[in-house]
Amino acid sequence: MISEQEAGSPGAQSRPRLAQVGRVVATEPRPNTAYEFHFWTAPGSPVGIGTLVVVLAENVEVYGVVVEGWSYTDVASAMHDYIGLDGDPAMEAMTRRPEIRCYTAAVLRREPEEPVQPVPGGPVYLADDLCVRRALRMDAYADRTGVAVGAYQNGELLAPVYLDADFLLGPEAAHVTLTGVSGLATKTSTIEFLLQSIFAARDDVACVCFNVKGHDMLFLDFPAEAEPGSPLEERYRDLGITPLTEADRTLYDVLGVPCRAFENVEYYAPFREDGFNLNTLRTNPEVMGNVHPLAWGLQDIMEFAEVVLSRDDVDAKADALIQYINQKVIGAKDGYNIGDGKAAIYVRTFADLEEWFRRVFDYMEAGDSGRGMEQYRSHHYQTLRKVHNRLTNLITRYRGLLTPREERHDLPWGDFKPRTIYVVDIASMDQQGQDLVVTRVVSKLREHLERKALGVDRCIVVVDELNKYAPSDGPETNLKRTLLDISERGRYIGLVLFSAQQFRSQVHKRVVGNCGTSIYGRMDMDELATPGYQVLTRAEREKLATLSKGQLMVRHPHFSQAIFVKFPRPNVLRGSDGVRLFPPAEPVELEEAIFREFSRMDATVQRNQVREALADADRDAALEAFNKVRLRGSSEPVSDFQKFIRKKAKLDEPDPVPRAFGAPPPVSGDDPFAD
Amino acid sequence: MSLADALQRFVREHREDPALRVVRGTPQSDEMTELAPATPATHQARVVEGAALEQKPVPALGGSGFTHFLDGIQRSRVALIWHGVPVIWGYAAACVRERGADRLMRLAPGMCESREALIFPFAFAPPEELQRWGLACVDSSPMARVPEDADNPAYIRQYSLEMLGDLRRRLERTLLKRWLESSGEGQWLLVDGELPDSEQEGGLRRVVGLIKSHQTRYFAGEEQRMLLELPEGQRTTVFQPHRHGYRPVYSWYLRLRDSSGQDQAFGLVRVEARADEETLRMAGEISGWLLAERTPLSLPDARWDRMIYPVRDCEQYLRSIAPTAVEMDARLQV
Repeated sequence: MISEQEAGSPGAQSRPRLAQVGRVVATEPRPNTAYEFHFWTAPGSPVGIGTLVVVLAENVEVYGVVVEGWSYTDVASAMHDYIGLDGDPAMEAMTRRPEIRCYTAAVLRREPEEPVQPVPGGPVYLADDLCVRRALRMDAYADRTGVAVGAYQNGELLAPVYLDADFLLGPEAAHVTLTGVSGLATKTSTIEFLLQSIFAARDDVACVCFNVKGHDMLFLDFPAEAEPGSPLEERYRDLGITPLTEADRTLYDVLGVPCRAFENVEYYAPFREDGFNLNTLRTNPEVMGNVHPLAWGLQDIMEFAEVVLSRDDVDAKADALIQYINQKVIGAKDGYNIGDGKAAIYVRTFADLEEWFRRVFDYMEAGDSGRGMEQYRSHHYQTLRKVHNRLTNLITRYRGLLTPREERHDLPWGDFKPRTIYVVDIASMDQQGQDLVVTRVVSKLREHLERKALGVDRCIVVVDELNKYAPSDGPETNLKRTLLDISERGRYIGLVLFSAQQFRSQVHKRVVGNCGTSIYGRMDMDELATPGYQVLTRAEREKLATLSKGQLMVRHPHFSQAIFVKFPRPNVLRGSDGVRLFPPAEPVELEEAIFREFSRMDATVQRNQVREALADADRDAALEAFNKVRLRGSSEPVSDFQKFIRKKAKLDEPDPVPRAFGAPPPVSGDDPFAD
Repeated sequence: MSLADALQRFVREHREDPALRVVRGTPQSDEMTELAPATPATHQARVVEGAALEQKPVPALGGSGFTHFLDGIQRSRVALIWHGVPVIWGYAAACVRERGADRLMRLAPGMCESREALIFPFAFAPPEELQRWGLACVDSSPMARVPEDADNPAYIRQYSLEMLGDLRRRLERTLLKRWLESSGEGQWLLVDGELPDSEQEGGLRRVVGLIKSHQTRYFAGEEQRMLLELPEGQRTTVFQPHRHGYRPVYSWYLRLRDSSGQDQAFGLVRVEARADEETLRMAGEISGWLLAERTPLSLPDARWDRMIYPVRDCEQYLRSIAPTAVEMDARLQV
């Protein structure tokens, strides 16, 4: 408890004296309650919407946040003023009418907690740093599980505001939803700063970000301004990249978050249609070191058949066949015996599946003494044809993401590193492709976290434009179900959803309802007019509609009212600056792509070595070899590449033991691509 | 202990006393006029500016020299019947408000006085028991002008209210004296109402009285017609009203607002100032100050046409610190 003496006596203790700004006032039309009180201030008092105040009365202290303000003079009618000044607005009256400024504050906390009584009359003081901690109940967790989200500012005062990690990342509550208008970079910046803050406070958290538009999150590993003396300093300056302000640095200091870019960021992007150039804006050779392909094979997506195949395609019969293929054909340990008298077939790739279908059709068409069979293992010929068309069409539909070959590029499941961001760039993919990527990645995260086998205890999934993926209306999709599941169960397994959207009202209410923390940047008035915001006062809504960059309103389980905070501009290179500093490379020919990639693996690689290696190679085989070398890494990439080419062309010694079609080759110490 | 506290305790303890009857819900008044309206009167006056009462235009100044404003209020209600006599609860207060350089009004330091008392004729009801309970009592007997009707309840009420008015005027005089002792050159005080008789020779320097009601007539015939038809922004020449037993003052009428289509007294005020040459010299300038004080309007006060805003501000201030009717009712509901 702060005593009234403590608040007003400057010499009694080391704590600076609290600044009195007003007095509680209660009238019959506007009485004080246990949860709301009114006070007036002197005209020049630094009180506004969002200001934290404390009332010190006898035996009770009440903390509140200003949620409404009004002022009036003793003029009973505007007409009186008009007449009094002869209709001349420039005329100055001899006496200024007194103008009272009153404010309504919502109670944040009271000490003692019981009995809960109407707020008594008394002096009102501006909250200082200690009051902010008490008002927001941060004294119970800030030193233990606090994650800085921003600073409460009032004049010179900058008091850090902490979220409770137990309620941000689980297990008590979890998830963050961010809402704000587009174009002010608030949503992205907030997420970036919050991640910086979380990484500063925790060492068991990784993050997966889906970059769904443009270049927003493609340069998280570069600072907003180059270190003095670094090679990039001049380029930053030449391009006029805006550095951080002193105010930003002060905020970093106050919040105790290191002012630096993310140290560990890995980027993943699908291929372009050519199968070797990456479909991302981060293709400048200078920054390709941590950019990886994202390419999935048959086995990766068959369990997501309902995502990749439209509902109309998958009737009961087709579904049964797909299940059959999934369970009996793909990945059958000893291969699949079609019954055509030939060797068992190992189906691991789309190419293998295509071969499987071809043999099955051959078998059926030749069966029943040449008249053809109607069914194959209880599946009708037409169903087989339909499923064949749909599945083999996936390669075309998801060109660049799905590979017909064996090599796959995926996130490092089981080997996630703490304090690392995995950015999955799906900005150039269509809606269908984005759905598939988000669904599969999130599902795999859940699966690994449930088994505690991801490599980190907790993983944050950042999804922008959530109203697109989990809308409040529209059809039930697999992705929507996945996101609902995360929002409801994620906190128990450490899977945390950070979502951003322009229109929170258009996000599924169960997703929003399960988010423990809600953050708002500047909002659209139309959005604020929706029922979800009616819990806010009109003044709060209007303040939300005019928030400037770097200002947020935060709701958190420990805060009984919404709090306005400021956060610094994240010390990461903005996407728009990033693509100016590192312009995306034009797509290159295969030879050039191989040379660039191999040069990174081995600086001694010569262009003519690559040209010679490619000289007589089949393009598909070369592509496959290139992707295999890229996937697995090599200290002698050209040599390994050539070995694979020779093997594909069967120029090496044949296998001592004949293999079934598609069967895995025997392990050989000389084979760089052996499994 | 405040009078209200003492009254509450007294009423509680004397609930069964047959000599006491508590009166609840009687109306209160800030002015005496409701219960004791001023009586119309006619007095003599002598024109001291020029040969006859004339209209004079007031120069437009656009500013005012008044820096301080004095006014008082009084509130009253019949609170008890004590031994068959109506006992008036009376509250009187006065203050001087100061206009700062920012044109905002504030209480001048140390310039607020109030008094609260039970007023009744001690001759008909013993005050001792009330006083024993800490209740301040004031005897209204000295106000009785018609001894044979002294026990008439209507006169008792009137005399008690007159006594309260007297209390208020005394408070105003106290503050006026205090202001005169502490004020400096360049400071001017505007008093709401007639100027009191000055105890100090020449003491009312830089003090102006503003009279809004015109119950006393000083001129008749053509002069009366002329002053009642003063156009907006014009004043009469200065005259010296006859004030029996009081030191002389100078006075003049001033029309603050256009009275077309209104009552004759609309916007008409009478100004009083010290009877000396300086007043004669400054009558036009002081009138200009008063015209400048027309803004802002004093609405919604019913006397807004004659009341200048700082005087209303004084009243508002005094009302804000006065005991409320709700409180008094509550204390008597025991």
